[in-house]
Amino acid sequence: MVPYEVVDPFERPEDKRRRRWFQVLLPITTVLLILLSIAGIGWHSWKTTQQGTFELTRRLLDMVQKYVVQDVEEYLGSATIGAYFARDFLAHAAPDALKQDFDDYGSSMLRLVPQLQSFYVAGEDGSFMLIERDPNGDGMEYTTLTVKDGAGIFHHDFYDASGKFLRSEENPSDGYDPRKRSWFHDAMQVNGLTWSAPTLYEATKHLVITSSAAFTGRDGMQRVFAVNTSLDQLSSFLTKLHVSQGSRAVIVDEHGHIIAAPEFDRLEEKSGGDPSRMTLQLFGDKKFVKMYDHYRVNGKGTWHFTAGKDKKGYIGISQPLPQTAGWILLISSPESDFAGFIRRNGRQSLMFAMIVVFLATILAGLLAAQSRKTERARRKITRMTEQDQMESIALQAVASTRDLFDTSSGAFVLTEQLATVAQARRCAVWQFLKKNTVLVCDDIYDSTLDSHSGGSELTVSDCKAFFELVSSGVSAEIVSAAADDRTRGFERLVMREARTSRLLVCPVVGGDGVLGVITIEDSAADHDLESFIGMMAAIVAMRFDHVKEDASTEPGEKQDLLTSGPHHPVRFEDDFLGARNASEIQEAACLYKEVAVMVISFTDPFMESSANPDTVLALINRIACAGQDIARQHDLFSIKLAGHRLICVAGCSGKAEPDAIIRIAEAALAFREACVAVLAEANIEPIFSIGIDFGPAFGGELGKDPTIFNLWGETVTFAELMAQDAADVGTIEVSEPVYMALRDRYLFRSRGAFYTPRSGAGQIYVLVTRR
Amino acid sequence: MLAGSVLELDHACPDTDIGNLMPVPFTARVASGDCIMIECRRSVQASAFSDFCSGMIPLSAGAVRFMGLDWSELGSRQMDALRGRIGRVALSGYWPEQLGVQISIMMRGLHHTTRSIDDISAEALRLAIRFGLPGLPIDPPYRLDRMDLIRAACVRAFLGSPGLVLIEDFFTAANPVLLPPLLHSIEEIRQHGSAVLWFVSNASSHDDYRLIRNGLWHLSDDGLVTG
Repeated sequence: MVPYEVVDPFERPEDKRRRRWFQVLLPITTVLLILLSIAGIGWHSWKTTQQGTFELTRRLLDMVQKYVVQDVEEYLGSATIGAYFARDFLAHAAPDALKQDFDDYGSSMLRLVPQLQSFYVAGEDGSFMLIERDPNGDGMEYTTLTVKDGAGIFHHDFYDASGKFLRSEENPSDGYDPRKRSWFHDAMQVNGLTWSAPTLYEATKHLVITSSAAFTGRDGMQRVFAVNTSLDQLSSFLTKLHVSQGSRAVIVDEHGHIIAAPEFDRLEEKSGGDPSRMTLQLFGDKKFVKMYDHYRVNGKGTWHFTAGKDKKGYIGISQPLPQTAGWILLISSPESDFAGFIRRNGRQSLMFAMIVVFLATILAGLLAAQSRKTERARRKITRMTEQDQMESIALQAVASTRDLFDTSSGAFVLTEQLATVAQARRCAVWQFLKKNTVLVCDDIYDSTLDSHSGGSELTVSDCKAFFELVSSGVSAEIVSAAADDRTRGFERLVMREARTSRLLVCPVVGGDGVLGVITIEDSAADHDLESFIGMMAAIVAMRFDHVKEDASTEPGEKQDLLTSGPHHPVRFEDDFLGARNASEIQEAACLYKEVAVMVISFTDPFMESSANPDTVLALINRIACAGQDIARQHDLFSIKLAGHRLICVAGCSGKAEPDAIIRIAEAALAFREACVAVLAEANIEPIFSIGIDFGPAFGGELGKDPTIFNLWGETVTFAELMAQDAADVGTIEVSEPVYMALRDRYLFRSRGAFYTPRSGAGQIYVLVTRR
Repeated sequence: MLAGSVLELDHACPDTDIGNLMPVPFTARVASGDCIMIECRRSVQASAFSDFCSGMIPLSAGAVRFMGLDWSELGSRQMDALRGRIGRVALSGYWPEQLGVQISIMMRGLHHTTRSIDDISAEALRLAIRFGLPGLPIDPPYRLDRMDLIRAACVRAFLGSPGLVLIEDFFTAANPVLLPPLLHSIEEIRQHGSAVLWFVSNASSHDDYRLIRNGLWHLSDDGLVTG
């Protein structure tokens, strides 16, 4: 992959997808599958166990229900069977012995069956007999309704537990007529046992129910036999009934009134002893309300439901009780009492599953990490292979350079290849001179600009710490050269101009110790460069050794070259016109605010023409003479020939010259005309171009005896650039300030807008002619 | 793939219906560092052949491989990335009119690489000055002189040291001033292992530069004749 490339075309999408699949998706999918499997197995196991438990619970509750039903039947059976027995017994009793038989039977039953509260017989003639437990003792109380003096009187005879008569009492019956009682006329209308609604028995303050049956005595009179059965024993039974820890049971009648329930006393208290108010709503257990409603809709059966704010699960059973007046047995039991172990088991399984998942996740993570590690290793190997190839190519390039050890040429190939392999912004080779007190730059290569430079010097006084670092002979990599004491001086003098920060210092060690150093700035390479730089350092060391040999073995020859060559007097003054008056020139360099600069550039084909040199020289001389004439004619400040460029300046007199740019423009047009004419005579295409800029520039007399006037700055540089890069030969290109100054006088056409780093964006125009 | 091969035409036969190339099989190989001059009388044929080499013309048979990758086997993302390694001085220009020329010049580098804009613009500026522009042209293409557009096209083609440069050159003969920077740039990228396909209308007019080329092919309706 080419450095910085966003997409590597050599990487196939399917490879990338496959790698991603194997490295990431496969482990994740595996973990997910494990999770799903565990969850599925857990769910299935939980459901199976739950169903089994529910079935078991249902059966258990069914059994409990049967048991309760049986108990209730037994509880009420005494009244039922007793009533049937008494009816038959009394129907066949002699009329005279009826009371005695009733008393004997009733007292026996009351002694034997605790839930029975009282017996009574009433006849259609209004007679009434009652036997009940003495509310103030262990004995019996016999009550008979008699008529005395035309008024009904209750006559009470009290006996102790042994049957000994204790006393008699009488009290008015207050018009009591048993025939008007529901238990009487209900029984009279039905050929069987009838049940009354629960009522509060005044004597005991307990809820009782009355079962009654009609019979005809031997004397032909119809009578009704009734039994009061106390329900408090049934509530006590239900209180003691524990199907499970949280289970409860109630018996309600068909209208939802509670017949028996745990803590029945409290319900009695809340209802004020009124049986009609003893409803499930008053009982306060919403589960039973729900169950009763469900029973009314769906009938008997087992039902799973939730109740309460926490939506706790319950199992409920509703079952009508046989041989009752439509009573219903309701049993609720918390699901957790039966299925709690499933939850615990499930929680435990979940915990085990989580441990398994955790371990699987770790394994998947390790697998993914291993895959990534392998991938990194693969990439590293690929990079190393590419690196090896790059280094081989670099070494081949170095090895194939003929003048590698030629001391007169720069070490361009070394720095270029170092920069390429190290992917560095700049690479430089420095050589120690003057007993290691001076480092001279052999070559510095800027990869961004693709430019070489060299010759700069660093002295030990400039950056002593850096010299010490190099002299130690040990390579060093400095992340921030400006922040490191050893390289701060080097950064200031060398690196700051390029705005680089990272520095790799590789001393060049030869036979005589440290000969120099290789510096690499802002390397982007993430691989080990040590071996390659070591080889390059060795080559550089050999080159430096050659330099030393040259210096030591050929001093005489070099001396001859210096002394035996042609001796030309040194020309300090390149001006054709020179400075006109010393008074007009600033003594020291200063900033001229408005200088017009014209640069005429002759292209290389003309300069390097294969024509007769004498002819070309004569031609150039004619052009130069024409240039001199034009400069004088248009009162230019200076005209200078530098290589294949002619530089004309106006506006440097030190005083305001508003016409300077006009004079330069006129000179440009005149020079173009003259030049075209001279070249046409020699049958040469006009291969020159002119650039003009107008603006501030630095300038002044430089040197001493003689002095020379020099001008520099952006204006000069830009004029030169335009001359070199003219759109076409023979054209006069001008900058935007020139166009603005001259547009009223001359005709221009735009070449377009261009961007340069120092000047920014600006328009370039071509000066065509005068208006 | 042959070692060091940049472009390989393996009996590649363009689709009959598309392009200005005749449906004849083309077989040729351009190695790393090669500079092949292709003589072609018709400019549209040169453009079509450039498209053909860039994997933009469907084939009825054979294969065109660039850097060892068969264009027909690549996905669009890969093809785009691979075309980012081709520089092209196209005759038709391909300058989006709504963009400044500088954006078009730098577009390939900005789109295909993570190089900073400063880095790319510095290189573009260097090339612009080499090709005779006073800076990076920032006007839309319709406001630029034709020669300046050709210069900008050269800058665009050589920017970022592409692996293959396709030069549809029907102008340097008339504008010799462009030849030195062009030759300079060709030599520079060849040093980096890139290859150059240089289409000319008349190879004899470039005889002075025959030393720079290491192959002369002739492209005609009969196909490619390599020599």
